[in-house]
Amino acid sequence: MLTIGFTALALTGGVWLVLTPRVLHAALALLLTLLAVAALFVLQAADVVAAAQLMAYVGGVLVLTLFGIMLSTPGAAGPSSDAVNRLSGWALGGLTFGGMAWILAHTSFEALPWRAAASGETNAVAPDSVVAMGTDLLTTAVLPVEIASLVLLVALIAAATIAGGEPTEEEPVA
Amino acid sequence: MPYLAAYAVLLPLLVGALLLLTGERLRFVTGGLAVGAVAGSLALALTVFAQHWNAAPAGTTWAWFNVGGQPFTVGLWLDNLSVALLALVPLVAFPVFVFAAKYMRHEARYAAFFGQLLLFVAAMLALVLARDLLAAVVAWELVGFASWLLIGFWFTKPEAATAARQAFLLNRLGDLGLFVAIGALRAAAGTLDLPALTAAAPQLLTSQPALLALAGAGLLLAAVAKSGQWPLTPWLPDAMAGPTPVSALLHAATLVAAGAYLLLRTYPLLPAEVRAAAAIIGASTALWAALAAQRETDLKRVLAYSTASQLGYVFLGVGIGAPVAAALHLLAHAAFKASLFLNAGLVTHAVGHAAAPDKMVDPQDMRLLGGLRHALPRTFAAYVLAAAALVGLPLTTGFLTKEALLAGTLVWAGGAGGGGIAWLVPLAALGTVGLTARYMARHGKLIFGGSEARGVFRISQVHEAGSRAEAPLALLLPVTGLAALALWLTLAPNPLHVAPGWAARGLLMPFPGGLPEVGGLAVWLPLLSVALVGGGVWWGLQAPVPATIARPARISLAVFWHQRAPAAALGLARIVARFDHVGLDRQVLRFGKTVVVVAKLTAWTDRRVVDGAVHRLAAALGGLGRLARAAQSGQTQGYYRWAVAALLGAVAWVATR
Amino acid sequence: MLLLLSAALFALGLVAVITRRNAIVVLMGVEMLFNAANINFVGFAQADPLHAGRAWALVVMVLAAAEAAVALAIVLRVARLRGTTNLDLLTALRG
Repeated sequence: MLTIGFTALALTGGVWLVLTPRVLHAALALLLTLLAVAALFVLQAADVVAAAQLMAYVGGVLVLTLFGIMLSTPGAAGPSSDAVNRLSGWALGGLTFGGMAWILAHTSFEALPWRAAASGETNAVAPDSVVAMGTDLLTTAVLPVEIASLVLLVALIAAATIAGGEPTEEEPVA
Repeated sequence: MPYLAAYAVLLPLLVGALLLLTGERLRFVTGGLAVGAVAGSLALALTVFAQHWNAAPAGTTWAWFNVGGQPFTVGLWLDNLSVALLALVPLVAFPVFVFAAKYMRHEARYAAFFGQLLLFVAAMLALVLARDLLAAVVAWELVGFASWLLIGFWFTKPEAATAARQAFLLNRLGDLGLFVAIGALRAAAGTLDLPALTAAAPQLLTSQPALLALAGAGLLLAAVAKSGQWPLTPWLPDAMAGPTPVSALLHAATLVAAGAYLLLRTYPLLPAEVRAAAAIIGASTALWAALAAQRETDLKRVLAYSTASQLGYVFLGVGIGAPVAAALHLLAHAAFKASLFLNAGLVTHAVGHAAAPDKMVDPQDMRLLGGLRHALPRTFAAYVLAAAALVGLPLTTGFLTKEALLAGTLVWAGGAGGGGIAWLVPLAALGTVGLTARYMARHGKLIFGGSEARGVFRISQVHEAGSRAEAPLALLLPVTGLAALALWLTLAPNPLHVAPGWAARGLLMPFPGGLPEVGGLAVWLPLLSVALVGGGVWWGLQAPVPATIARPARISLAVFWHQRAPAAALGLARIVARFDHVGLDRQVLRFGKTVVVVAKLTAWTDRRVVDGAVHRLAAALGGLGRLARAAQSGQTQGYYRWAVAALLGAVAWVATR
Repeated sequence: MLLLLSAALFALGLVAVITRRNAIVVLMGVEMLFNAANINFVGFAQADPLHAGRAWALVVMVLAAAEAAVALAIVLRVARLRGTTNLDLLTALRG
């Protein structure tokens, strides 16, 4: 029941984001979607991921986006976002969704090799403890974590460099 | 109370962090704060020293983290070696800080300077106290980082920035060795705890010889890079681009001592081959740096080369199995070298005042100095005392420790050494004694001796600066105090022999048998070395004053890295180019003529037959291009649309096949 | 259910990326694409006794954050240079 409710909420946010002509409303719609998805993560017993979702997306990305809106739109009139490519865009989106749904309907997930290997514990809802997650991140998943941290470092430097001071003729942005 | 030692580290660290974080807001109390922090650290360190010197080794351990069920710990270890260094570092740092508080007061980034300097001292103290290699590597990196900050403190000067980068990169090379060593030791013994490793060392050396050799080589590389030994020396003289107090601290008690300390700390773990390598590296650095100092004209660079040279003695001592003598030389060297560097600061300070209007001349250029003993009598007195210790005149600490080292080399070469070649090591060590005496005599003569007629900075000019000629007491006291530590009484009551002294007896505790029995050598070796020193001094006083202003040819590795190696490559390229020109070009020319004839024939066919076809093809391609151009709207989303459509198509194609 | 939601959010994100004119809304669409992928990760991790997908979901979030930072920096730069974030007016690549 809760799952259906939050799914509906997430979808509402998504549709609102696509349809609204106001950028700020779009940000609010994204917030709605992200919160609903975080709730869904909790329902999936992935509480660490949900917390990360709240912190990284709601706390970080969304705030960043709001700053972006404020800094990039001069003038008093609220930023707006018209739509282009309506027909082809919706057509492609519909095709994508239809194709994915078709694939989902026609896939037998129980036949996946790793599901077969784990057949004894199907749908075992293990509580997602922080300890287990941390162990996981430092043992089996240590390489992706390291790569992610490197990417993050590069991205931070890049973002600071790109958004940094105004470039001049004598001193081009390195 | 091992915890007390931790506070000696934390105090400078916290005050340093405070100074760095508040920017220049605390500028007006910075000097007091920093000197106070070091004084507090000194008091704590001396308390710890009094409690733990000659006591049973004590320590504490904290669990840090577990990986895969393997615990990693950090801790403090207080034995006679670490306690001695713990006392020495703030003991040298305190006068340096007092000096710097006055010397650097016009600096725009005064608080930042002291913040970095405190960080440096704290990192060094942490390294000294580290019980395990894990904590040691953290402190080690901090020492390197802080030295990078400090050498490049005047980072707007290009040579300072370059020197800092160079020092950092060469030190990183050494860090590589340390990491290798840590991995190897962990693999061999399953622990990084130094007391445990030391206790297990004899057994490990027989059971895991390959890993221990790897670890020893890594440790040696790390120490060589940190202490500026051959062939990683170039950063050491170049690091003189930093402020004078930094040079004093860096080259005396902290940075370069860190490498030697690491080697002493891990001494029982070093296999015989690594020790032999250390002895050879030490002896060659000592000799080579002493040679390089002979023709140097920069006031501070002479001292820098002598640091490399003296640290070479320390490495030599470790290599020949006389770690006590090496540690004693490290301690003695720290005091007198810091005094000499601060002394150089006094000289440039005084001369800089006199030459302020003319910014073009370099107050560190010894060719422009001279006769300063009349203008700066007290500076000169402190200089003579410290320099006497450096060259190893009797009644100084330098004499005592050098005698022990020289005797050790002779015993080593005569004993289980490697045949006739082994005698080269004591020969180099003895030769270095004479050479040291020569370059220091020349150094002193160029700065203080001679008449006032020579050079740009006349004594009269210095005198005209009035009361500022002799430095104020706040600058003079630290120099004199450090020079006073160079008297023999610091280490032993017997001015001829260090072994009965309190320091040697204390250091024999962590290194049993670390001071070779000298026997009959004790009689004639001092005589020989005094003769060598005398000869060197006499020779140095004869040294001509370099007349030209052109930079002298330096016998240095830096020259090799910067000039010789590229020059060799260029020369090779030139030879290849000549061969190319004479041999190949002619062939090419002949070939070219043939080709032209063929080409003329082909051109005719080409125009008539091929061109027609090409024109038609071009028209067809142009039509295609116009079509493609329509898709290139320049609108990102348009491109994206096409990409998604293509992806969908591809997926659909794959899925339905 | 969850996988269908993921597909739907993915499609909506795609639509947002293709149809919206404002660069920042486009970026929001990209964030939605990332989120759809994350839902998949968590959904599958639920059925996986090792829960490996959760770690990957965290990595994806890091990547999304990095993407957002860099992309917004670029948008700001473009806005300062060209005075607009309207993608229709940014056609320097026109052939």
